[in-house]
Formats: sequence, structure tokens, C-alpha cells
Amino acid sequence: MTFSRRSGLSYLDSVRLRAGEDRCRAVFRDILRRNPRRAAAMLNDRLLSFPCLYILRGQAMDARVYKLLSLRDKIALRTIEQVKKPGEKAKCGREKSDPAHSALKWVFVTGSANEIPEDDYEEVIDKAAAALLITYKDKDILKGTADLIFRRGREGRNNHDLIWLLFQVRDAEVLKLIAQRLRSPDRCDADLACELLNLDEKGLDYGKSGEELHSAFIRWLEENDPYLYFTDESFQYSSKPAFSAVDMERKYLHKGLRTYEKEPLVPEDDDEAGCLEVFRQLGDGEQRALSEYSHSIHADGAGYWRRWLHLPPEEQLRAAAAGREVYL
Amino acid sequence: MILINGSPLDVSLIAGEYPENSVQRRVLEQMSISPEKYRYGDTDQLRFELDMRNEIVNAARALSRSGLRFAVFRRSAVNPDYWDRTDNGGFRLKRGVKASEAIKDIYKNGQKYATECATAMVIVYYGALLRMLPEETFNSFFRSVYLMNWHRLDPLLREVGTPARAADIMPGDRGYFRNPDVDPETPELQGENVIVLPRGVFYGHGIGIATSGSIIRFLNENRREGAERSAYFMDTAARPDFMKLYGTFRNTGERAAARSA
Repeated sequence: MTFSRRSGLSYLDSVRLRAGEDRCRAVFRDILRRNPRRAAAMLNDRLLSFPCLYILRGQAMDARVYKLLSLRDKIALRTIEQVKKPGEKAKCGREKSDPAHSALKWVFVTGSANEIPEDDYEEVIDKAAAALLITYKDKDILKGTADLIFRRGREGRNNHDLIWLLFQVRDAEVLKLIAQRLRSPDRCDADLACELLNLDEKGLDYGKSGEELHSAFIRWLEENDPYLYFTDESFQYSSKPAFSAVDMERKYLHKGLRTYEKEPLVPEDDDEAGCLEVFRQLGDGEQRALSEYSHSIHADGAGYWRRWLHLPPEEQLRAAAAGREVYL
Repeated sequence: MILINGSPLDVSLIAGEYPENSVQRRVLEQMSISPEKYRYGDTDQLRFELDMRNEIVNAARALSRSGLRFAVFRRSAVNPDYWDRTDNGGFRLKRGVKASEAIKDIYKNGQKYATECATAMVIVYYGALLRMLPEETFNSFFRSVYLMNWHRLDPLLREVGTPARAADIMPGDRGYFRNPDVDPETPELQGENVIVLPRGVFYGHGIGIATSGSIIRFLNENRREGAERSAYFMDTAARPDFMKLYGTFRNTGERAAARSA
């Protein structure tokens, strides 16, 4: 026991990791038979990991032990029950001080680090992640969620619900976490990152090393961040979901937002309304060309930018195609 | 408007080939009054699309009667005589099994299967093609089949996975109801894939054949606490590339025989 505590493991975890799940169950059964109070104390150990509670859930529900369990363990066991017997919805508070928040965080943090490749187990982890990210708006687990998505992807396990969840957070940090995988030596990770970031649509995916791809994406993100929004598309809707997109109208008129939501652009005056009306009649390719050019020249001075904005669309396009040196 | 080889089609010339109120007739009428231009090289191409849309609708109705159960991927189920269930909850055609037999088994023994709404849509498309083509032709084109929402679609069906804005939503299209404020603990209800049926109803797996109002009500009942946004029907549609399918199967010389049989 002394050794395991020194190594940061609970006694039961050390048995589980060293001798396997069956041995861990047998050891716990023996302790429970002789001393239920001690058995409960072992499950209440702050060093215990969720996978250990998960494999011991049968014995943990024994009335002699259950009544002595910590709130953390009881909430975790209730979450498992909800997965095993679907139909009952979890009742979560909304405050991070809610005991359910810390219990679910324990489930996710200790449970995702060492997943048991079992459908129900993964569902418990997903439920904990959903409550933490959406209900409690706890972004501390963003990185852990991204890690889990890629790990499950490598193992051929289902990661679609977690992918959907991660994008529901609507934070550019999510894109940065995914972009880090572009540099991964693992082809599976890099391919999934390309897919989630829609690099082919952005024209960023060809002939570059992982490092170059990452740099190109980060530059793209810096340029487009004020105009970025999350779309709600998912693998349930499309084989090629555009999880995030750039609001071309806002980029064209240099009217960024930081909400990452698609919010209708209301023109401030007739002048803007006129520009927008013309812009909306253009095709996707033309809109993209104009919005990118608009962004690139705005930094050089509002005067030139405003003059360009009032040119007829075909002249705007000509200038965009020729580059600003020619136009100037 | 329907254009055959660039010229507007007098719809009455082919409308009589189809019964009143048939899917083909409805689609034909919808296309002909639309400001959108539907272009075909010849009337056989148009007929192929009309027939295929009809079979998509028939396959959707058949699947709704099959007993196929709704389940998230983690709880998906297959008849192991025909399919292997993959680790991520997909269905993979068992080695040595004919695709036609395996697809037919889903329609015949639906209660042995369980999956999400998107995979059910793909099953509908395979079912429709099986109705359009002789089995031998079907099996020669689909030697391996993998069913898991829109992932790894067969190249012949790739377009059904990518919805786009559509001027007209017609019977046989795949539509989508989005539930933007879904309860995050039931991500399977983030939306509902549907096949558009005639008379304003839809087939959605897990919901059955229902009106748009009923589907929206169902999705709204599964929103998170404090939700403010209602579920809604998106103005996008996905459809097979009918021209590609026509071009692929035209030369098999068997489609017409299959239809008349």
C-alpha cells in the first residue's frame, strides 16, 4: 500500500494495473466480506481512479458499502446507472461549486486517461464530458476531450459524439487543439485533424509537411478569427461537415465579431447596404476572392479600402485578381 | 423548368406514363413549375431519376415497416449471419455474403438490427437500388458494403452524404431537421435525417413516417434546460448523382428488363 501511494495510485488501482481487473475484484470482494467500512474507505480514496470504481461497481452497490460512499462515488455510480439503464436523465446544477461538477470532472479526468474499451464505459465518459463542457461550461477539459477523440480515432472506436460535443463549445481554442495534431507523426491523427479543420476546402492541405500545415492553419486562423463561426454541422448530417466557417460578408465589410456565432449583418447605413446587396449577388468563389482582398488591403489604410469598396463589383474583382500594386 | 438537350420539355408528353399521384408524376410537376432549370441529355435520363426517386420512397416506407430498431452506435446490432458489427458501431458486409441478400435481410428481419438515423438513410438508398437493378448487377457493383452514417460511402452513392442548398425539396430527397439546443447528453437527437415522402410527410428512423410538425415537436422535447431555439427543417437536400447512376447502369442492359418484370 505504501508503494502504491508513493506512486500516486490508490491501493485498488495498483492491484488492478499490476494484476488485472479480475484480481482487483477478488481482492475487493475479500475486503468487503471482512470489513465493509474499510472497503468503502478504499473506494473513497482520493487517489482512486474512475476505471477502478467502474469495474467494482457491482460490489460498490452493496448496501453495506454504498451507504458509506462519498458523494463523488455516488454521483459516478449514478452516471453509470444512467448508461446501463437509459431513460433517466441526469439532474445537474449549473454552478461549478455543484458537487456533481467535481465528481464528473473526476470521472472524466481519471476515466479518460485510461479508458476501458467498452461501449458503456465510453458512454459514461462522453456523458461526463457533455455535462462538463455544456452544462458547467468547464473548458479545462478541452484538451483532454481532444486527446480522447484522437485516441479513439486511432483505435477505430466511435468518436463522432465527442467530435460534435467539442465543436458545440464554440471556441477557437478547439481549432488550435485539433491543429496541433497536424504535426503528429501518426498518419491517422494528422488525417483526422485535416478532416476536422476542412483543410482541403481552405486550400491548405497539399504538399506541406505537418509543421508547415500547422503554421499555415494558425496564420489562417489569425486572419479569420474575427469572422469565424461554428456551424452545428456534424457527421450525423454530412460526410464532409464544415464544422466552422468564415462569414464572408463580415470579412468583406471588415465587421468582425468574437461570438463565433453566425449573426446576421445589419448594414449601418445606405452605403453599406448598397455594398452588401451587390456582394450577396456574387457566387461563392467571387465572394471569397473579394472578402480576402478586402481584408488584405484594409490594413494598409481605410481610405484606399473605402474607395475600392465603392467600385462596381467587376472592377473590385479585377483589382482583387490583379493584386493591389497593379490597381494602385 | 425541365430542359432536354437544352430545350424545354412539354411535360404532358411523359406525364401520362405514370399514374396520377405517383411519386414520378409529383416530381415531374414540381420540376416543371420550378424556376430552377433541371437539365437532362434525353428523356431516359429523366425517367431514370423519376423511377429512382420512386424507389427511394418505396424503400423508405418498407424500412419503416421492417422493425429496424433505433440505437446509438454503441448499442447498434446486426444479424451476424450477414453482417459484422465494427468497433465503432458500423455494419460491414460479412465475407462471402452477397450484398443483395444482406440488404434484403435488414428489410425482412429489421428487429435483428439497430442503428442511428443516418445509417438508416444509407440502407434506404441500397434498398432503392436493389429495387431498380437485377440482383446480379447489384452484387457486381457492391461487392463490399459498409454502413455507418455517411462515413466511407460507396463512390456510387457519395453525393448522398453531402447536402447542399436546394431550390426544390422533392420526394426522394434526403432532408435534415436540426435541433440546435439539443440536450448534450443525447447527441443522437442533435437532428433527424429524413427521406422526403409525398403529401408533406417524412420518413425518419426512430420516428417513423411523420409530419414536419411532429418531428419538430419530438426534437424539441429533447432539448437542454433553458433552450431557446426550436428544431427546424433545413433548406438543404442530398440526393444521389442520378446522372452518374444512370450512366453506370445504362449499359448493363438489364434495368429496363428489371422494371418490366
